[in-house]
Amino acid sequence: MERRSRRILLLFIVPAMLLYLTFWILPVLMSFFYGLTDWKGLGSYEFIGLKNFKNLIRQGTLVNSLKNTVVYALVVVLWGNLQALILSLILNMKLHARGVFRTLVYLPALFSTIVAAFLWSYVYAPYYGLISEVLKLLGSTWVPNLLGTSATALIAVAFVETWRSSGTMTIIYLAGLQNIPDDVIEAAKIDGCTSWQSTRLIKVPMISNTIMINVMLGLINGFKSFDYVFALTGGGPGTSSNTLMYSIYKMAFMESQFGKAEAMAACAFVFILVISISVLSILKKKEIEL
Amino acid sequence: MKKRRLLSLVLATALTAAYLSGCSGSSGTASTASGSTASGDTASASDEKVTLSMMVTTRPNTGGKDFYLDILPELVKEKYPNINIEVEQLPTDQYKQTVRLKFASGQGPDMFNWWASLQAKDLVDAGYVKDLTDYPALSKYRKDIVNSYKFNDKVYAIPNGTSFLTTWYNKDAFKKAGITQLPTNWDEFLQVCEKLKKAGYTPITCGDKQSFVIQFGMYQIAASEVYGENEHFDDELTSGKTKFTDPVWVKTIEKMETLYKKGYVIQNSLGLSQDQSRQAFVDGDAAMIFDGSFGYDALNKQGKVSFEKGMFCIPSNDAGKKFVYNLTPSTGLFISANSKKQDAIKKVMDYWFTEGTPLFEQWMKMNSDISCYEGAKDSRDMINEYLQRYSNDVAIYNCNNAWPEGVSDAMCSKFQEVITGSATANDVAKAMQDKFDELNKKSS
Repeated sequence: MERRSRRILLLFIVPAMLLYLTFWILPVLMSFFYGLTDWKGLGSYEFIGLKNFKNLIRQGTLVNSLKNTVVYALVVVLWGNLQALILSLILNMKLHARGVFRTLVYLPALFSTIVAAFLWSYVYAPYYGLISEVLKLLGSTWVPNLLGTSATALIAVAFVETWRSSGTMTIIYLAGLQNIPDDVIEAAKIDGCTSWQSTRLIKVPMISNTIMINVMLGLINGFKSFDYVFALTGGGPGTSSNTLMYSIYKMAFMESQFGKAEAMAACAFVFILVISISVLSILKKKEIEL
Repeated sequence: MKKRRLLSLVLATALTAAYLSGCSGSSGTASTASGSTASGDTASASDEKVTLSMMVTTRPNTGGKDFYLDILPELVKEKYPNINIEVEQLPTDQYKQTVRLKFASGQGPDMFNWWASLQAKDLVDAGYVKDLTDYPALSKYRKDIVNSYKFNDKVYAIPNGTSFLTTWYNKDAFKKAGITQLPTNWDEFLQVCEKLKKAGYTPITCGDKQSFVIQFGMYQIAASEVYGENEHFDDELTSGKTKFTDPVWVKTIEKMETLYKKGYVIQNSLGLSQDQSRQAFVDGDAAMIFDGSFGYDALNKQGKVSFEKGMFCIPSNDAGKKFVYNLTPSTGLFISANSKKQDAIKKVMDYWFTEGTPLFEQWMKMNSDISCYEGAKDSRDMINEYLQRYSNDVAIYNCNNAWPEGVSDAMCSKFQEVITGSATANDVAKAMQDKFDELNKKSS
């Protein structure tokens, strides 16, 4: 009886499974297949084996985009978390008008990507831009061109991403900090902990769960970076700010090389999978230790 | 327990039934939809309602009525109350992909604007667009422009006209810098830049942050440098006889590079968007800008200061050598070959392209391209004067008309590296050739 009912119940999963297979698994598998063809988005295609992958490596597109994506993700994770942690520690203090400050910090998160990018394109602009005008007021003759210089373009774009996500990250940290019981902090004070020591040795370790959430969120945002690159630099100058997702978009939608773009997407899939699994397992271990 | 099992079974059955009925419901709608299309076919013959889909690239906002978005649907509706035209507009990048995807999924627009030569080849090869060779009005258009829509001796579009890449200049700044004559060769052009620089002007502004803008200057230089000696360079490119790494193209890129090296181009151009660069010209901050006839409205806007504007094509030819300028087919109107509403489409086309009809008159008046219809005169004096000035010279189309999509992008992004100093003209030429080889092999 037990077995029969289980079989009947299994039957009910079939519609959902079918939908999942048709609309999720099949397209992914098909996309891997197209990576082995020279499909141009229109008409017929030929099977060309691993040639797309060879081209991606030979032309340096894959390595360059991977490198840029890693740098981007690192800036987003490291700077983004540091900034949010500091902000949340400040906002957790007993300040006057704390509510106002908290609202102000969250404000960037309310802008849509395209508005944020538009605003920052004027902050960075070498002529009439906010940064250059401020420098001029201070008497500097140096005009920074952060988006137009190969060395700084990618970091400047990543900074905009951290600016926008800082509000959300700060809120998550604040929630973590407020979960720490007051008696723990009080006990530390009685034991003679300075505020720096209590932050470093008590508060930060006690919000390790929250840190993990924010690191994962940062990583995900960093690896799927497309929108700010698209809106601020278009991958330039040259290919200096081409990230994985932007390269895929450019190949498919600007050069009509869908096959090659699918090959790139397959590489990106494997790469992100490996990184996510390893980061997760490292953080899980840490969490238990703590 | 039994009751609960029964309840879950009933619920599950109900859900499955709802799901299935949902399916049949949607197929029901589909059949009605196809039913209405079928009735639409016959409708074009009788007076029943037909909706035609039309796609165009995003129109510049002029504040007034737009030909495609307002005038065309209105006038057609006036003449044929049963024909509705739905116009969809998208920015160029998304436009190209959306139209292709729509055709690939069997839902291509009934009428749409598209580019000439190699850029239309995949649509023609796939059989998506209608052969218009026998359309009577075609004979009234400039033959060389009509031919750019010709594949295997069949014409697939009605040309909207031509446009050109050019250098807009500030006449007042030129006067103040003591320039009395427009340059006629490369050395004179460099002297003009030098004089402007000495007079305290920024000679040229470029919005290089948006890399496609690089094409505006590059193709003007390539016109004389590449095609002055060999008009068939592009044909030979496909056969492998010529290459981008040939001296002519390397020299073209080097000439463009010279403008940056000598400090004639606005500093930090890589941080400037096309709009910001246009603003710098309109405000009088820079004396020249590489742009096109299509920038007519944007560049004639009132800026910080008012000044007289003019246009000339960069004379990249050496003294005494042949000068070639840029004039290119802009877009053409293509018709879907698989549309079932051909009768209605024909009615609209006949109304649109017959001399003397209100729609034709409006089109001639409002077309932002330069009409290539027999006897048509552009309403913009600056453009007429420009074409008159170069009427005895040889013209060449936009270089990328002969290239597979992707080559121009490779050129632009590599040239950005030249501007930053991390690549050379040879690197750009090589990147273009590599991209060409990669894409050309696939199309052949």
